[in-house]
This record gives sequence, structure tokens and C-alpha cells, in this order.
Amino acid sequence: MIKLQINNKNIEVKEGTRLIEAARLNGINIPSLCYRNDLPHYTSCSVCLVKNKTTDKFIHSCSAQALEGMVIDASGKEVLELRREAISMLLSEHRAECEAPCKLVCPLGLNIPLMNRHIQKGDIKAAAELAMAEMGMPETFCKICPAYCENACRRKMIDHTISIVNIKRYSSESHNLKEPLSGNLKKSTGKKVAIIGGGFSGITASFFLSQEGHHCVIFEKTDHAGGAIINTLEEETKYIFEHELKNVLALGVEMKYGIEVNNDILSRSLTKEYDSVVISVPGFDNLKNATISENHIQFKGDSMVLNDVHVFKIGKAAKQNKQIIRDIGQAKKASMAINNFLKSSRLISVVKQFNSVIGKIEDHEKKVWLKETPEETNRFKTPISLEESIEEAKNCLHCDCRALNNCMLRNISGDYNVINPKVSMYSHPIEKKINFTSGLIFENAKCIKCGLCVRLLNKETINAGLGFQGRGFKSIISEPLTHDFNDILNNKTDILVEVCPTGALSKHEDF
Amino acid sequence: MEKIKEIKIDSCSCVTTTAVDIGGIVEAVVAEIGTEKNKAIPILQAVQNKLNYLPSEALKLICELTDITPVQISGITTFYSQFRHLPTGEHIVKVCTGTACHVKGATLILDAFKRELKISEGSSTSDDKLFSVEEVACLGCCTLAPVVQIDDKTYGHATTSKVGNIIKDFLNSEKEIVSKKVILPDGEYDTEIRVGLGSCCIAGGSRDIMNEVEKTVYKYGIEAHVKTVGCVGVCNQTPLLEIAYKNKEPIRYTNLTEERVSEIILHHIKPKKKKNKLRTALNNWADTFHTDDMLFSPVNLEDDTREKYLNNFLQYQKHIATEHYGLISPFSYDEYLKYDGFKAFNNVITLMNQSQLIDLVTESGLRGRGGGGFITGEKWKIGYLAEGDVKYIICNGDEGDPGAFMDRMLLESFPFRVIEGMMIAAYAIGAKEGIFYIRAEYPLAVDRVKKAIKICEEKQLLGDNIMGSGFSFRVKIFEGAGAFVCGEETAMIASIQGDRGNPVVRPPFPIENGLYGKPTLVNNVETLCMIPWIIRNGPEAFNSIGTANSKGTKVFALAGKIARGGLIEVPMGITIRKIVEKIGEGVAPGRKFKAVQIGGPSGGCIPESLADTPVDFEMLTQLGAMMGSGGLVVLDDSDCMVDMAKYFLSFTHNQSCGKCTFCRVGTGQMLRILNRFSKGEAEISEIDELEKLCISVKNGSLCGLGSTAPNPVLTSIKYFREEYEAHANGVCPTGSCPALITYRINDNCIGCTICVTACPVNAIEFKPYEKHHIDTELCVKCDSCVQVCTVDAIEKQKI
Repeated sequence: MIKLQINNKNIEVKEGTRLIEAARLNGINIPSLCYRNDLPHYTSCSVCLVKNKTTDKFIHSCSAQALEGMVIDASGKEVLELRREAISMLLSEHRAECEAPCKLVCPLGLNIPLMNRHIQKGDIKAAAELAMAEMGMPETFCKICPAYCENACRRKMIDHTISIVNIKRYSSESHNLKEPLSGNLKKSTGKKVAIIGGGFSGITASFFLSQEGHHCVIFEKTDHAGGAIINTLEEETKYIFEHELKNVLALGVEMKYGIEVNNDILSRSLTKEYDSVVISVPGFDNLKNATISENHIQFKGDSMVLNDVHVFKIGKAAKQNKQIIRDIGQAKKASMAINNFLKSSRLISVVKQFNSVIGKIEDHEKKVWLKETPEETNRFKTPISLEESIEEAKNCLHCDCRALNNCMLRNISGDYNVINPKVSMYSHPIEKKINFTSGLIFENAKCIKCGLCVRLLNKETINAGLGFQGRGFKSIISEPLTHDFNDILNNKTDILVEVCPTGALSKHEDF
Repeated sequence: MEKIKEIKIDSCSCVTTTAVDIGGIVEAVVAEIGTEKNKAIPILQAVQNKLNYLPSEALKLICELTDITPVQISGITTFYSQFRHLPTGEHIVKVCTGTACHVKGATLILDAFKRELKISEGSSTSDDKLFSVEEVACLGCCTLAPVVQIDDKTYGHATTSKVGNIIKDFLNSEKEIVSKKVILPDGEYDTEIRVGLGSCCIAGGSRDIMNEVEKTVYKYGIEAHVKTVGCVGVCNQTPLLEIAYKNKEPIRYTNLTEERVSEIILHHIKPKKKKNKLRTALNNWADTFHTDDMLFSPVNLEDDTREKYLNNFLQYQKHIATEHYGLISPFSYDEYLKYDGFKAFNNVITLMNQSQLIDLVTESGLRGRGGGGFITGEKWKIGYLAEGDVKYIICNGDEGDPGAFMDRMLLESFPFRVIEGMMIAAYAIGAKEGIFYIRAEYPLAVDRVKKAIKICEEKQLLGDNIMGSGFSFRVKIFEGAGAFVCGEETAMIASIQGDRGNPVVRPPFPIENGLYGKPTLVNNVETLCMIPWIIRNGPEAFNSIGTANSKGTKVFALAGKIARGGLIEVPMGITIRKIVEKIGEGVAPGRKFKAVQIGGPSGGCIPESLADTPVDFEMLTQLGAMMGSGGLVVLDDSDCMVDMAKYFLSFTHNQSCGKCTFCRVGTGQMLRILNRFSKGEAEISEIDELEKLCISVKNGSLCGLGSTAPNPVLTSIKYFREEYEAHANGVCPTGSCPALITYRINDNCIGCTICVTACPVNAIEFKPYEKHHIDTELCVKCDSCVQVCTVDAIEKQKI
């Protein structure tokens, strides 16, 4: 047995144990993107670096053996900093986007590519429900939004933007606007939230908090919901709004009209009867610190406590935006933070999930995005029917990553608070290889050269698999020079997708 | 956003040569070499030798006929620079971009060749398929820098303005009919005529000299033994000729030309036969009559002058690894024996057991000369104690540092000595099999070692039960395929096993678990070369030379901006200044000694202010440099340190195997920042950013390549930070960085138009007798005009 110390903990392991295993066996987790205990080590990603305090050198714990008397620092400042640097370097050659640009710019974060996929497959119900679950009042809000999504659409660089707003409109409408959200409702938490203001922000907050099982009561000083803006809207929009409001109220939201809440009511009544108070109207300047700030949804200070109850300012009450849709977006994010608070009684900042950026796309790379669209489809600049919308949806490039939710690189970048590197560096153009027989997709620009797939296939002893080609910065994982990607690995797709720590290897049907 | 030039390997675009029987060639090669996985590199080398490149048809066939898989073959043919997937032109122009050549303008030469041969951007072959232009890391002729090789013909001291002539000369020489080789009668003579035939000598033209010597000796019946010797060390003075009388100091001639050969020989050695005497007299008379430069003939120089240079060059040296340099013929086994050859091995197997031998080597204090400086005796001891019925020894001759050619010269000049050292080491650890790993760029070394091995086998010095001792040992050669990283021992082993040259984590060290999982001793050429001397002269003789922790001598390849470059062997502890100023005779007149770059891309620069530092493993490391393998490039005040750092980093970045993140990406990020400095785009704050990045790469890299790659950058920042600051302000103080300078013609111009003809891009208008003007829009900054201008009218100006 070998005796050593990791993070000041004396441990004993069998001879020949790798440091990463020695640590993990003793409850110390060391991250790695290129290591798996069932495959030979390769020492590539360098995210597993630890410091050997006896020699003052940094070593790769995935492959370095635990040796007698070693003193290992697996989580010191220097170690974390070096790991962060390694992740940042990997990101600089990882030319990929986690989320599609349209989704990123949507103030309410609608997963537009997913919606398009539903529509493309003809599942209009799924598309409509997705929009409702993520937006609350999808049709009303799209009417008052300048359509940031269409402006960001990557298809624009090839011909013209996907007509997202119209696609969504016809699919939602056809599904039946009147049907409230049924699935995804959480059990009642028994918490009561008072929302001051029945404008768009207040309604949004009530929608998302109700979904989470909190009982919401809206106090609106006028006799109608939707705030002042509702009167400026077209009749058709007003009509849609009325329907969508019913859907929200159907979740159990109580709307009290004609009650103007002032400081007095707030402190004497609301803070006594409710678990939390959400202010979505201007005023209440005495409660400066109750604001939830826009970007990372951080709580500022603790003087938002009034009579032991937390008071939050959201939407217009937090910050007056030029576009009302931004207030609504803020209200949605703030609701998430308030929900966290209601559930844990702690003020936890909601940190934006890491999102890799792709950098500049060269002209010759643009055609790659067309690979997954059918060769022959019609384009409709403004679809005016469901049929046309379905046809137009087929043209979506699906810029989001298939590994969105299980990407180790994305997760570790978030864990280590890595910011996207200023400069991206790459040696090969963006490329997408598709094996049309098996549905295996390989996107080299996402590959971090960890070699897990190569080792896995090596273990499987197959004749032609994937291997490294080229040297150094120009090295790449590829099918052999003597073979075509479409002719190899026909029954290996699942294990390859599983082993890949990023979205470089994925499966066609995973979308 | 930066885009690094891409390479696209397109298997489909391979040109199929219908006339060639690819199948037959591949089958024959496989039949000869074998079908095992580890034969991949030799098979590919042999196939490429025959086909000029590797068509995908050949690759497929190799996979079908052998155990080699498509993944393996694709992996290695794209990893090693030697392999080509596309055919080359008929002739290959190799432009050396080693350190010494770089500081003397190799990049400009490369551009000039591409321009002259009209090779378009992104391509390497001329449209008529006559020439391909390649960069090579180092041809090992640093003293003749910049060097260009076209097929087998080497051109030293190239300039951009000479490029056209070089191509013409090459094409003309192609047409020449090779004269019939003279065969000289054997005989015992008191006099020897020695011609150096190291690579530098050959590059300097010593083959022609040799031919001329043989012709002269034959023609006049000169009674002298004509012999070729290995490297003499004065490589920048090639070609060399020595005339040696028995028991007398030899007389040496340097920088010789063919025309002088017969004159010199006849001056020293008079023909004995009457008829020949008459012929000499007549010839002498005719020569005096026809040549007007007799006065400058080397023969007419005083003996003192003639030898002063060599004596100075040699006075501070101590020859152990290079013992009997310039004296023994690299091919002659008998001569090696005559000069104590194999005596050490004989002593070892008759008088010592393994422990005694190891103790002796440990006592000598010898440390590995490959760079790391591990104590050789201790390494042997671990090898000796390692359990295993099969053990291997590898002689590391994969000298890839640009600017280093020690190993090449030792292998070329003393092949028997390296073999002897290897035999002793093998005996020490109990290895029965040895492998010479020699880089492919050293064909002469491969050839000579091959011949020497054959002779040793014939003499039964290699084989079973050598000299009845019970010790059996065999060696073979493995030719590297062009990857600097293979100098790292674990990468080298991977390469011998037929894989991509990726290093693996240590421990376990190869000495415990190496080639095919067996204990494997990897020793550098120079280390092994020292062994016979140490055994013969005793450990005290060795450890009395040098400093406290660095014993014996070190061979350096001295090149760069000095008067006298070459291969030198100096005692450890000698100061850098002594090497530069005494042995190298300093920088050119009017120039200032600025720094030395020691240890190649893993080492660092040491400024003139620290030149009194003694050569010692620890002292150099303390300064941020490294002994490395022994490249020593002298820089003067015209050399830009940012440019040097950028040069080394582009080398290491390019040679990185790509396995670990810090080396693969980190070196690229460093290079990006350095490029920004050399273009004047960087901010002052980026100096710190670069330094930080350097430290991360140093800390986080897996092997020595990555962890030492930042050294040239770190030392240049440490000692020459002001130059980085100047670049951040848009000024290259030495005027080396093309983006920060512009060429202008001053009032010295006499309107001779010579620059107009030299300019490859017509950036100077033809205006006889008027002051010329350079169109800076068109100018490609090739420096040709400066080289040809006779009145110093063209100057580089800061933008």
C-alpha cells in the first residue's frame, strides 16, 4: 500500500493507483474531461492538474501514479487557477455555441430551435406548450417585441432570417389559445406571494411563481390587467391578451382589481399576510435595496426585509427599460430568483449558465449549417398559414448544440467561472460530418482532442474507426484517410456520443 | 480572431501515377520489412522513397498486407513531417530555417525561392512540377548559414539576390557529366592528405576538393595517403584540407577552392618520378604565367598566419567525445583500433563486472548530454537493477534543435566510438538489443553508422558471445521520420513502436518500463561518446575537468553572428564570454555582442552582461536558460529579441505533438501575442499577459517540449524587456521586424540601377543616374536591394 496526502488528508491506496482515483476514493473530486476509469489514460485536457508539494511541480492526476510520501494539493488557489486556464484554452479552440443565438437574445429565453423542431415534425401541440411554458403569454409578448430573435438568426448570413414570429404565431393559434398550460405544474408549496401591479411584469411573475407551486395574488389599482400599455395595442392583440390572461389565471392566480397598495398597506397588511411581496410598479423609493439587478440576478444587500418579510422589486420597478419586453424578461428571471428564495429561504444569486461563443464565422464555413436542412424546401418570408409555417420551420439551421444539457465542458466552464476567451484560435474550419446510415454526427470545431472516442474504439478493436491526424495545434480527430465517414462506425454511434465530453460527437435523432 | 493556416489532407486529390506499379512496390517493401504493427514507419519510408509520396492507394494496400490499421497509418503519415500525401516537384529545394539560418535571413530566402520559382501562395510546388520548396528545421550546417539544399547539392551563405543564380547553377550542374572516379593505388606512405567530409564540409564543397585531390595525386603520382576524415570542427571555414607528415603537426588549409588543390599539394609534396617532376615544373610555370592572383594564394601565406586561426580555435578546447577529431577516418575500423578503439570495451568485459562499471561511470560524474542532465551512472544503475529478461538500449540521435548539430557530427565522424559507448552501456544494464534512433534529416550519419555496424558485425564485435565473454549484443538503426518531439524519450519509444510520437506521463520512466514495456536505457549520442574515454582514462581524469556539479566537457555547435563558428568541445566551467570571444573570435567588426541563445528552443538567451557565467548545468538553469543539447547561437546588436522569441516559439508550437492542452493551445496563444508585438499591435500590458501565459504553459505541460518552450520568451522578457516595450510602441529597435520597418533610398544613391535589377517585385523604378525611389506599396522587404547596393544608399527605417 502507498501512503500519501491529498488536501491534508492522509490516505492509503494500492500501488499503481492513479492520483485522480486515489482522490476520488477518498471523497476528493478532481475534474477531468479526458479521463475515464475504464479506458487507458491519455493526459490531454489538463483540467486534472494538481500540485505535488514535495517537488513543487504540477502533475496530471489522471495519469500520474500515487507515490509513497506524496503531498498533493488538489484544490489550492494555484491549482484552480491553472485548471481555469486550461479550460479557457480548450474553449479558445472550441468553436461552438451552446445555445442558439435566437434563444440567447429572446428576452424570455424561448428555446426557438426546439420549437422549430417540434413544428417541423408536425407536433404543433408540443411547440405551443413550449412557448407557453417559457413565456407565459407567448402571443401577446411577441406582438410587443421587436423580434430580436429574427435579427440574430444565423440563417440571415446565408439568405434571410427564419420567420420565427410568424411560425410561432400560426402554430400557437392553431393549437388553441384558450387551452391553459396543463403539464409541468408543481405541487403547492403553501407559500403565498403578493404581487403589486397587474401589468405585464406582474402577470409574468405570477405565471412563473404559480408554476412553481406558490399561491400568487395580484393587487391592481385599476379595473383591468395589462397596465397602461394595453390601451395602446391593436384590438387583435387585446383580444389575444384576454385569452392568454385567462390561461394564466387558470393556474390559480388571484387578481384583485381596484386596490392601490401604498407603503402603509404594504407594511401593515401585506407583509403580515404573505410570505413574500413582489413589487412590479414604480414608486416605493424607500425600498431601494429590494431591487433585483438585471444581469446576473443578484441580490443587493439585505435591507429589503420589511417586517421579517422579503420584498422584491421586479420589472419596471427595478429598472425602466426602453422596450417593455425587456421588463417582462427581467420579471421572468427575477421570478426564478424569488422562487429559489421561497424554497430555500436563502438569497441565492441566479448565475447565467455558461455559454460558449463561436466567434467570427468565415464565409466558406457558412454552408456547413445547411447540412441538416432538407435540400428542397420553400422559404416564406412571412408565412400566413400553419402549412407555410411548418415548411418554413424546416429551414431552421438548429444552431444550438445537441449536448446542451450534458456537455462536460459547459458544466466545468460554469463550475470554474471561466469567461469566454477573448480570442478564439483554430486550425480547421467548422465542419459537420454526418453518417447518414447511423446518424452519427461529428463536428470537429467542437472537439477538444481528448481522444476518448479514439481510445474507446481502440478498445473495441475495429478496423476503421476514428483516429488522430496531423500534429500539434493542427491535429484533429478524423476517419482514416482511406475511408469515408459515411461508411464507418455504423453500430458505434451510441457509445461514441456517450463518451464524448462535448457535443463534437452527437446523434442525428438527439434533437 | 486568428486563423492559423490550415492543412487539408485530401485523400481524393492524390495524383495517380499510372506508369508506376504501386502494388508491386508495396508488396516488395512489405515482404522485405515485415508485417508487424511496429514496421509502419520503415515501410512508409521505403514506399515513399520509391514513389516520392504516399498515394492513398499505397496506404490502403499496406493496411491490407500488414497488421497496420487505417487509423494508425493515417495517424502517423500526418504526424511525421517526412511523409507526403501529394507528389513533389522533380527537385526539392530545402531552405534551412534553423536558428543560425534564421538570424541570417532564412525567411527572406524562402520567400525569394517561392517568388523566383513562381510558386503560388499555399502551394509548395512550381507549376511546371520541376521544383518543390520546403522549410527544414535544421540541415545542421549552421556555420554556413543561411543554407539551402537542392536535392543533394548544398548552397551555403545564400542571399536573396543570389537565389536566381543558385537555381541556374543547380540546373547547369544537373547537365554536367559526372567525371570518372579515380582509383588510387594502395601503399604505405609517410605523408597523408586529409579532406574533411562532415556534412558542413560537404556542404562547403569538399567532395569536389576530394575529387581534385585524387586527380592530382593520380596525375602526378604523388606518394601520399589520401584520406577522408570526419568533422574537424571549423565548420564555417570549409572545405578543409590537411597535409600531414609523419611525426609533424599537420598543415591545414581552410576555405579552399578546387583550383588551389593541385597547387597546394604540389607545393608540399614533390612528385618522386622524373616524368612527373617535369610535368610539375611545366605546370608551375604555366600557372604563374596564367594566373595573376598567385599572391593571394594560400600557399604563399606565412605558416603562422595560416595556422593562427586554427590554433586559437582549438586552444581552449578539450577533446573527449571528439577525441582525434580530424585525424581518424570515419569509415576506417583499423584506424579506430589504432587510436585505442574498442580498448575500453575490452577492458570492461575482461576486467569489470556490471556494478564496477556502473560505479566507475557514476564516479566520473558524467551527466546526460541530451538536455536533462541526469547522472548517467545512476540511470545505468536503475537499468541494471530493473527486473526483466529483455532490456533495450536506445541511442538518442534525434537531434532536432534548430541550431544544433553535435550529434550529427559525432555520428558522422565517430560511428565506431558511439557503437563502443553503446556496447559498454548495454553491458552495464544487461541489454542485448540496441537501437540507434537517428533523424531522417541526417542521411550521411545513418549511412556511416550503418556501415560501421556492418563492420562490427563482421569483426564479431556485435553478435552473440562477443569475444567469448558471454555477452551478446546487436544493434539496428531506426530512422526518425521528422518530429522534434521524438527527442523526448517516451515519444521516441512510441515512434519505434510504430505510433504517433506522443509522450506519455513519467514515471514510470523508460529505464523501468520502456520499449515494449521492457526496461529501456535511453542515452544521448554525446553521452555514449564520452564513455570509452572515461573508461580508458579513468573517472578522475574526467571529473577533474569542470565544475562542482558539471564534470568533463560539453560539445557545442557554435554558430550565429561570430567570426569563427563550428563544432567545439570545451571543458565545463568555461565562461560563455571565452567561447564567444576567444574560440569564436567575437562578433563582426563594428557590431556588439548582445547575447547568446543557448540550448535551442528549450533554452534561453543569456545577455552579454552575464556572459561571464560558466557553462554548468545548474548555473544555466538559474539564468532561465538550459544546457539543452548544446546549440549555441551568438546574437549581435542587429538581432531583435522579440523576433528570436517568436522564432523559437513558432518552432516549438509547430513541433508540439498536440496531446496536452497547455502545449497545443498555450504555445499558440503565446505565439499570437508575440506576433502582435512583432507587428507593433501589442499593448504594454500584454508583456505581463505573455509572461503569465508562459508560466502556465511551463507548469501545465506534460513533457519537456511544452514545459521548456516558454524559456526563450521568458528569458528575453527578463533580460530585454525594453525591446518588448519598444515594440508595443511600434518600434523595432534593431529594424528586424518587417512590419515595423520600411526601405528608403537616401542621397548616397548614384543611380546605378543595380537595385532595380535585383528587386524581384519591380518596386524601384528604372531611372539611370537619378536618385531611385522605392514604392513601399510594392516592396516585399526582401532585403535584396540592400545586399546589392554598393554605396550604402538603401536604409531600413522605422515606420
